[in-house]
Amino acid sequence: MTKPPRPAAEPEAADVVAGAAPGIPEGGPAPARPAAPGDGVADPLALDAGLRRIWATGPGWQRLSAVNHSIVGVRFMVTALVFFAIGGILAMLIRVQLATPDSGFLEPGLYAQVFTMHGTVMMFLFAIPLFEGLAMYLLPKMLGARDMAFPRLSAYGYWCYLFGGTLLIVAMLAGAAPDGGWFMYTPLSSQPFSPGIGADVWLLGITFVEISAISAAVEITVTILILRAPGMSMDRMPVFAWYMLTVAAMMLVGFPPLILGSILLEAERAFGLPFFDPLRGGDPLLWQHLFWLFGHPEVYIIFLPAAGALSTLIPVFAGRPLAGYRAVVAALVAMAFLSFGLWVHHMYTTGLPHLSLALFSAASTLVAVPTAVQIFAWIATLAQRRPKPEPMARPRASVPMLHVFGFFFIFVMGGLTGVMLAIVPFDLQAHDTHFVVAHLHYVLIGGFLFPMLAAGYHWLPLISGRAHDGPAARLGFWLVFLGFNGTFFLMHITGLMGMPRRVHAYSAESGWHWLNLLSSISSFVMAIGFAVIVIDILLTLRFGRKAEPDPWQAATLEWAVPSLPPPPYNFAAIPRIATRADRLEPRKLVPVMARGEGYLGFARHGWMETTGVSVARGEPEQIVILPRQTYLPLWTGIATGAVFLSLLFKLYPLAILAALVVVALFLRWPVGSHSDADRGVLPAGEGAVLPLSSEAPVPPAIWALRVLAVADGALLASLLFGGLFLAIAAPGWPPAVWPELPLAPGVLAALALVAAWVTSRMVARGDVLRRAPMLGAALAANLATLGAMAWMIATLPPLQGHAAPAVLAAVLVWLGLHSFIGAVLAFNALRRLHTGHVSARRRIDIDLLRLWQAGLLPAGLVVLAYPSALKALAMAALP
Amino acid sequence: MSAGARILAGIAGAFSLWALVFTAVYAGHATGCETGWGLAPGPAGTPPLRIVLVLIPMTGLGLTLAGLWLLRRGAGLAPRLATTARLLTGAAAVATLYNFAFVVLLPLCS
Repeated sequence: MTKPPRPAAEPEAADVVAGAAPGIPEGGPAPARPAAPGDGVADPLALDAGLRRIWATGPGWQRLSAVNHSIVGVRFMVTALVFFAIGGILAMLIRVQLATPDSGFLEPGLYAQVFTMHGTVMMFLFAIPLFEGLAMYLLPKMLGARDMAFPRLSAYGYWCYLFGGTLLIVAMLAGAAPDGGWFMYTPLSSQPFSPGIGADVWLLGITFVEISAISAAVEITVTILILRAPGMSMDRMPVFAWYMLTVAAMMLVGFPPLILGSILLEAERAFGLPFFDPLRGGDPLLWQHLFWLFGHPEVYIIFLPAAGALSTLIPVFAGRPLAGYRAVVAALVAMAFLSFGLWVHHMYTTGLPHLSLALFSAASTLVAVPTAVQIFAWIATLAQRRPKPEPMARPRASVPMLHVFGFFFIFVMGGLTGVMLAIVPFDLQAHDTHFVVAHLHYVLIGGFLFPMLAAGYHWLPLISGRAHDGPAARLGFWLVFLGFNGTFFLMHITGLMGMPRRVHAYSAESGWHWLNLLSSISSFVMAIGFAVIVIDILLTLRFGRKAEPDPWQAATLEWAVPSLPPPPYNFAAIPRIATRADRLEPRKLVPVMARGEGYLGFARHGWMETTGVSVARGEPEQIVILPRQTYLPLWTGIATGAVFLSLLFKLYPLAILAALVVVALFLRWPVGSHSDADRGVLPAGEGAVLPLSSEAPVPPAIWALRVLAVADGALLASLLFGGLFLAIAAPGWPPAVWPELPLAPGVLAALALVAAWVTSRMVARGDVLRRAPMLGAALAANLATLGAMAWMIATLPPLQGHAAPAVLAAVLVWLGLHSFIGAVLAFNALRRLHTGHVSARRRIDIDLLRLWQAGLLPAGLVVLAYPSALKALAMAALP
Repeated sequence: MSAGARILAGIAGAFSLWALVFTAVYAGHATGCETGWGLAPGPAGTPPLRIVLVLIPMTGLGLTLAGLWLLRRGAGLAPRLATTARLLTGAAAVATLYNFAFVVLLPLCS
């Protein structure tokens, strides 16, 4: 039934370019072979050519098959900037409308679409994807890897982002944009009050885009954990990696509540399930809780990558290492946690008890402390004396540093008004006024845009290979800086004078008109500033002189690439890191690595190889084989888009069909030529012999599933707590007749969950080649759970009648869906066993199943016990 | 415990505990008020809800301080990470005190 395993592969001489001790036949033609692995080669050009043949993306239509992190990262950033331009144009429309009293420039409905889309575009289509792109581009280079852990996932995430964002923009151009504000509060966004498809476009489009955010979070986490250069232990990581690891963890926990909320609201709009309808046991506040559970951490998710860029580039321009590295890492982790304790500070006016308000107000003020720690660390870095020979030299006043100055000035002001708004009595006065608009723009533009502009100018030579030296950048900065303050500082005043947010017009008697006019004029100054910056960058890209290596004398690994812009493989060999990775000397490393001295300094078998290391100590553990260029991410993205479009136009059978196509396409992802036979351990350079990732005990795929389980757990927890919230807080609970579930399918599901877990463990033990029956049993057990869920849902009363059966149906659907995925994993393992891709050494597919079932068992039992808990709580909370 | 798990516990443990306490206090408060524990008489006239809401953060604080004690010699972490872990655990202890002191003082369900 299965192919016999092949012995460890001996590479053909023709497979090996410039080096590669691994199994080269004695006397074979290896013109630039090193004396020993890791010793380097005589001909770096031959090594470069060999690696480029493997890693480079082809021209023309083949560009659509790109999975390389540099290409996908740049695509993310460029697309985000296009969306930024769209969001900026929408902002200009808002300012034109508000420039004069009683303006008729935009009618109210269109104005509502414009401000909704402005917020949506800036938050979801610009800020998050921009830093995702920057992280994808930089992280492998900073960590000493040749790519991200899951290049196809990067590409798939990009296509989801592009298609989801395009859906929103096309809807806007077609006059069907959402118009309920970027936070889509219910009941305004519920079907009776937003009857068109605008709200559906938002809910489905944003969920589509969030796929890219979750996939980015998974691969950023796994990349940082195990795809570092050997020797780069956790405590030697560059500080940017700490920031991105923290941000990715926040995304894994923060985005699922929004995804859940969007699914529930779409279910209410499409099928009438009343999660947010107070007349049928729902509660609009549930939406606010779910939205802000995402929404407030989101602010820090946006700020922290920018702060990571600042922590990286300020030391470069100060000429000193970052002051308080350990305190900065502690501060950013503290900030990440505290940011999840603030969500209700957007809900102070919803009538919560004083004690609850105090809890959230305290946490809201507390988060200012770690923020301040970072700001003082940056100031201390700039203020320290430089080492010899230039102890009195000052930090360089370069263009990036101008934007750092802009950041300090604006973000500190935004932070201070944030502390003001954290205080309940003040917030009650300023809530939903232009003061809040001013605050959030000071925080987001100050805390994200200025640092990103600094980062853009700092890494422009790396990304483009062009040196920047145009004077227009300084003009652009000052126009943006002055225009920004003119636009938004005045909004503090109009807000304190009582001007509400989101109004499309105001009367001349209000006294706000001069301030608004000045605000609008300033906003155009800011827009001109951005245009100058764009022109400056375009001129640099077109006419800039060639950048010299490591132009800023930085001390991080991304500047150790052999050329600017970097080759697709980043490093001809991967260095061993023996010190903190922000205290390196890139100029000295470049020639060493270009000669192939280090790990994997060769090109063999057409494999895309990079090192995988242990999490804590950074010791090499495996050779990770990355996938070659492929159209699969594009096709999977298109099929995923078909699912969302079908849901949007209520073509549900087509949506199910498209979802099955997505599953089928995903099943094609694991195929790789390196995993069709046992290879044993292979030389990896520097005297190391390592297994391939397909034979390693904990390959990247297992890490990905562990990380994804965090997001999945956050979604389930949000769902369970959402139901409990309704049971105690929503009106009309419990329903007149409690929706009792039959015992038999529950018992069947519990037994099937246990059976799936036991059989998946048995598969993993002993001779896996003889475990097909066990895999079949695991598949059957998962299908039995799925059937039991369908049985239980079928016994519920109409889900439209009350939120109680709707909540129960939602948790049962969760378990059914996860059982279906378990069945797919079991089927996949069977299929791969049959095709010879599974052996005692190559057991990823079996380990994935085992891990899945081990997580699903406790989660499933919680879900099965949940109906009883919900009923008990609802009865206990009876008035 | 593996080295990776030690790092995770050292870096994220204390604030994870803070997050658990936060969730438990917020959920306990909402549930207690709905079920009438905030008004029911308890020991020395203190409503049972207040006792629960005080005990939860006190337990969290105790565990956090125990973590700080375990970290006094680094708990097997690299020196830089050990310092970071101590800073975080100390900060979580202060955050717990500052964040939940109100449960002693403020009216419960109004």
